[in-house]
Amino acid sequence: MAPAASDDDETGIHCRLDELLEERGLTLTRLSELVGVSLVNLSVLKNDRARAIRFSTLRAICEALDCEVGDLLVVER
Amino acid sequence: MDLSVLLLIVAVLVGVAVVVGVLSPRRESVEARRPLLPRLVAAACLVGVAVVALGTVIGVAQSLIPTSWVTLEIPVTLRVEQTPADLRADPAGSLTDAVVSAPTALTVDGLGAAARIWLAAGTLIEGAVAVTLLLVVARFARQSISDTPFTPRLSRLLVIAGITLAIGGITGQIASSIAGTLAHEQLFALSPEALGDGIAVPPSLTFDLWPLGVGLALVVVAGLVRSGERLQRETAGLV
Repeated sequence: MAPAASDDDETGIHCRLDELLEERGLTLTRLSELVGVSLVNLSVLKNDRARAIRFSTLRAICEALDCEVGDLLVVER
Repeated sequence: MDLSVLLLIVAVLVGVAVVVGVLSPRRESVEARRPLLPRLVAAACLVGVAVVALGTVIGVAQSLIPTSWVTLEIPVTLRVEQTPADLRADPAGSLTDAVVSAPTALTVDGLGAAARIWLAAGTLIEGAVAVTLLLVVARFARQSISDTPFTPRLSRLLVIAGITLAIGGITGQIASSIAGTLAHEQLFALSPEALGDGIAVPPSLTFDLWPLGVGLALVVVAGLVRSGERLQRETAGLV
């Protein structure tokens, strides 16, 4: 098993939640209501502080924002 | 200490614990959403700590004051050589001898210094063990509703509590038992006829082993907490 990363470790993954919400005119609170994920967790995801994401969360967000996984998560270069 | 004064102190402590532990945190919205039961348990444990500490101090003081009456359990064994006829359940009538063993609570005055010291030591150790366990339960209850319930400190506390219970539980009983034996010797040397027709047999040093078992169980639970800590670390940042 790989050692768990510390809190300070960068994952190298950027979440484009902010941009996608802006394009669709949605707020984080509204998205939270739509996908049933807490505002705290969505905030963690939006600010690139998430270290892992459930497939169910990913699917719910993509369905709510009508996007693909690749539109939401990108590798930072 | 008068019982009514003690009850008043307990009532005041309960009141303070309810106000501090239950009502005050409601001002904060995050705290108010936390389950009520663990907070109540923690508050009750802290009240228990105060009551046990007070009782222990009183008990130790009473044991050490030479002029005060003390109550202690003495393991008395009675050898009944002639079984009363109405107690005979044996149809053959061959039952002629029986031994009755039971701890007997005695309140005595003028107990020897050695017995008093052992009694005080037993009371102090048992009180310290109870206080330690109550503090650990209080910590456990508060920790269970925190954002990170599994911490290295909690597992260390459990190990300490387990060792304290195992060692303190046994030594406390041994100290009390020695005090009882010394009191037994002093009492029946003074009045060997005190038991009427029965013959007082000197008690042997006995103690329950449950503190050892429960102490080891706490150390095992500490291992489970460490496993929980690893799982908690792995799921940190999961959304």
